[in-house]
Amino acid sequence: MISVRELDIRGHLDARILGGLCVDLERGKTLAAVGGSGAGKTTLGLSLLGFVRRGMRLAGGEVEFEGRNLFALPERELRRLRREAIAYLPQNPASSLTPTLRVEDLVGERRTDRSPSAEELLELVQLPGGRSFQRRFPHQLSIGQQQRVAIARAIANDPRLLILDEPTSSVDPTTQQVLLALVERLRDERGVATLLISHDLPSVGRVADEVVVLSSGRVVERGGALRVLDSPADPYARALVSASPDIGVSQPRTAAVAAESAPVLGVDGLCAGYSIGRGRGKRTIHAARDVSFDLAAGETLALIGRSGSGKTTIARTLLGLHAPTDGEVRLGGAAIPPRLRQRDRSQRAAIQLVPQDPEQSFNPRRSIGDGILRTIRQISGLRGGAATLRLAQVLELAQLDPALARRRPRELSGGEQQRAAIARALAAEPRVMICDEITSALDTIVQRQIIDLLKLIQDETGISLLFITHDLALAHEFAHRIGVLSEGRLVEIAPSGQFARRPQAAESRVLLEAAPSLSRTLATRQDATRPSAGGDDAARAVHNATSGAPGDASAPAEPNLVPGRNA
Amino acid sequence: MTTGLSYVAMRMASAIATLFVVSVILFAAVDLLPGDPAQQILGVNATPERIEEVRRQLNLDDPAPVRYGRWMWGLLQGDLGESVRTGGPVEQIVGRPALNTAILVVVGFGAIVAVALVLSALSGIREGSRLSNVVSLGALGALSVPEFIVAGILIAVVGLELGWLPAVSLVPIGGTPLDRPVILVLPVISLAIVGGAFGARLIRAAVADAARMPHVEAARLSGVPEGRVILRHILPAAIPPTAQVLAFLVPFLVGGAVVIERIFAYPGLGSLLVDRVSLRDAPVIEAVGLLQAAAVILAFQAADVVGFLASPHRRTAP
Repeated sequence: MISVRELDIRGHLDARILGGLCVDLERGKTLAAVGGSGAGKTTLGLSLLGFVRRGMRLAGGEVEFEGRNLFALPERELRRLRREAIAYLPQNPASSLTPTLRVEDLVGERRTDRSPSAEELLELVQLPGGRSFQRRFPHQLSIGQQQRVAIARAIANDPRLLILDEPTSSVDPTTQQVLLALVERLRDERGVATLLISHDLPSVGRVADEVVVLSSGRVVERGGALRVLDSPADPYARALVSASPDIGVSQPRTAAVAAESAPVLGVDGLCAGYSIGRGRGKRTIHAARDVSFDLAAGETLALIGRSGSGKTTIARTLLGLHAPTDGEVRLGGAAIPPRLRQRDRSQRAAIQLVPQDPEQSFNPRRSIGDGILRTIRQISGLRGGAATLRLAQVLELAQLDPALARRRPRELSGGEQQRAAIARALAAEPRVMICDEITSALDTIVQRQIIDLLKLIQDETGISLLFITHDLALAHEFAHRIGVLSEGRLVEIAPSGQFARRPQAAESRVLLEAAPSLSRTLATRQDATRPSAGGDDAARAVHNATSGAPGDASAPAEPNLVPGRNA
Repeated sequence: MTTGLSYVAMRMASAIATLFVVSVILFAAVDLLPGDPAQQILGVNATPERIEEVRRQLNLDDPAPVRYGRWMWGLLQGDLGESVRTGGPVEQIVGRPALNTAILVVVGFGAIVAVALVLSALSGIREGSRLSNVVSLGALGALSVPEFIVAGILIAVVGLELGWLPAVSLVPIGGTPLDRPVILVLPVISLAIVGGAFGARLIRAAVADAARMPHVEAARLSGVPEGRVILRHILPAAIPPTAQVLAFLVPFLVGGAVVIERIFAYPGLGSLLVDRVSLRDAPVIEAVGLLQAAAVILAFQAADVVGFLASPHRRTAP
C-alpha cells in the first residue's frame, strides 16, 4: 500500500535526517518505528504524508502510496489524499488542536460523505458524543480527552493509512488502552494500515506486526514485532529494549541505607494548596494534605502518582517556593523556615532541585558553565580558581564533558542538559536533591544513563534523593522506597520490593496494574499467537528487496519489509 | 468565572476611572500653561485693577482644586463651560470641529484597516515568501516618513502640479465634509500611508505568529483546504493581538489629525486646539483634550473586549 524507497532527507548543513530508508507497509498491518530521540521517526511519519518540514529537504528517494509518488504529486492532489485516505495524529494533542475551534468543528471538519457522524466518532474513542461535549473547546478537556478528540478527528475521514506519532507518550493509561484497542479494531474491521511511531515499547509490543528500529536516520534492525522486541540482534536495538523500564522484570533496589541514623529530611503533617478563580468562583485546591515522611541519608524515595496528585507542589514546598498552610519541614532534625527568603545560605544549599525541563532553567544567553559557576559563587562563596576547580569537580561527578560547559543550553542534547542540571544542583553540595520528572522527556536509553549516573553519585556522596515520577517501573528499580500520592494524600509508603509484591492502597494497585511491562505484553501475545504463527516471524519478515512487490496477490495481508541498503 | 457581560462592565468601569485621572492631569497641565488669561484678554495695556476684575469674573483667584471641582461638577451635568476668549458655550465651539475630525478619523481608520489587513494577511500567512518580504520592507520605508512630509508631497504633486484634487480641504459653510467628500481624499491618504504601514507590520507579525503554531501544520497535514486553514485555524488566533494594534492606531490618528488638519486647513479639532492653545482658552482646550482622551481610552477598552471575546480559553470555563 505504501512503500518508502531509498528516502534521503537532509537538514541544516546537509546533515542526514533520514538516509536511504526503505520501508513497506501493507493493508491491514501495523508497522512500528522505534528509536531514540533524533532517530528520524517523526520525519519518516511526515514523509508518508508527502511532507518535509521547513529546514529540511528531500535529497532523494520516493514515497509511493497506492502506486503514486507522493513527492511528485501536485499540492491539490496531495491535499485530497490527506483529506480522504491518510490520517495523521500529531505528537502533542494539546498543541495540535486549534484552540478556537469546538470539538464538533475539529472532528466534523475532516468528515467525508462516507464518515460516521461526529457523535459516533466520539463514542468510538469512548468520549461522550452528546451536544454539550461537542460544544467544548480544547482547553476544556483533559490531556487524555484531547488526545481522544485528536484521534477521532484523525480517523473521521475513514482513512486507509493511519500515522500515529507518539500517541501514548503523554496520556494516561486509560487513554492508551482506548487508543491501542482502536488501532486493532480499525486494522481488523477495515484493513487500515498503521505506522506507529513510539518509544513506548510495551504499546508497540501489543499492537505492532512489524518493527523497524531507527538510529540516526537509518534502519538498524527490522522484523516481526515479537522477534525484534524479544531478541534484538543489533546492539543499539538491544540497548533500546533492555533500557525500557519493565515492572515485570526489574529488580527492586534493596536497602543499602543506614536506616537507624537520624533522617536527613523530615516532613511532618505538610498541607499546601492554592486558590483558583476569583470572586464567587474562588476555590481552594488542596494539593498536599497532611503529608509526612522521612528521608534517610543515602536513600532514594520515589513519589509517584497521577498528574494532579500533588507531587510537584510537595517539591516546591520543600524547596521553600510555595508556602505550606500547615506542617513543618525538618533538616537534620531541626525545623527550617517555610519560605526560601527566610532560610539561611546553608539551609538553601541543603535542598537542591533538578528541574523537569533543564533547558528552561539555564540562561539561554550564557554558557552552561557560567550557570553552574553562579551557583558555586552564590552558595559556596568560592571565587576565582577555587570556583573553577569546583566546577571541574561537579562536571566530573555528573559525567559531563568540560568542553560542553562552554556551550549554551540550546546546543546540548536533552541528556546533556539533564547532566548539566544535576551538576548545578551538586555544586551547592546539597544533602537532598529533588528530581522532578527528570527522565520523562528523555528516550529510554538516555533515561537509563541518567539513572545509572544518579546511583553512582549517590554511592560516592551519600546524597539523599527525592525522585518524583509517574513511571512506576522506573521508581521500582531505582528507589529504595516508594510513596504513592493520591489527591494530595500520601496513601502508601513502602520499600520497593514489598510495594510491588503486596500493594496496600487501592491507588497503588491501580498504578501497578497500569504500569507498562514489555515482557508481560510479549508473553500475552506469544500465548495468543502460538498455535497459528509458529516462531518464524523473523524469517517471514525479512525479504529480499526483489521479492514480494507491494500488492502481491499471494500475500495480501503480509507486511513486506524490505531491508534498506544502509541497514 | 467571568462572563462576557461582567467583563465588559468591568472594562467600562476602569475606562471611566482612567478618564477621571486623565481629567486631573489635563486640568493641571492647562493650569500650568504660562500666561494669564485675563492679561491675554485685555492686552498689554490693561490696568491692574481691570485685570483683577476680569480674574474675579473668571474665578481665577480660587485655588486650583476648587476650580477643578467646579469644572468637573459642570461636566457631570453636561455643561462644558464657556470660552474665556470668545464667549459662548464650549459645546458649540467644539461641536462642529469634533464632528469634522470624527469623520476624518473614522474614514482614515477604515482606510488604514483596509490597507493593513490586506497587506498583512497576504504576507503573514506565507512567511518568508517574496510578497511577504516586499510588504515588510515597503512598510518600513513608509513608516520612516513623517505624515507631514507625505502630506506636503501629495499637495505639491497631486494638488498643485496635477490639479486632480483640492490642495486645501475647505468645508462648505454650514455643511459637513461629507457634502464634498473629495476634500477628504488627500488627508486620508496622508494618514493611511503611515498608519497603514505601521498597522501592516504589526498585524503581519501577529498573523505570522498565529501561522507558526503547531495546530496550523496539523490542519494542513489533515488536508484541510487552504482557505479554511487561513480563516478557521490561523486568523482567529490573530484577532486579539490585531485588536490591540488597531487600538494603537487611534492615538496615532487623533494626534496625526492635528498635524494633517493644520496642513490642509481642515476645520477640525486639531485646528481648533492649536488656535485655542495660543489664546489660553482653558475650557476649550480641556474639552478637546478630554474628548481625545476618551476616544483613545474607548479604543483600548474595545480592543480588550474584542480580545476577550475572541479567546475561548478566557471566555469559557476551564
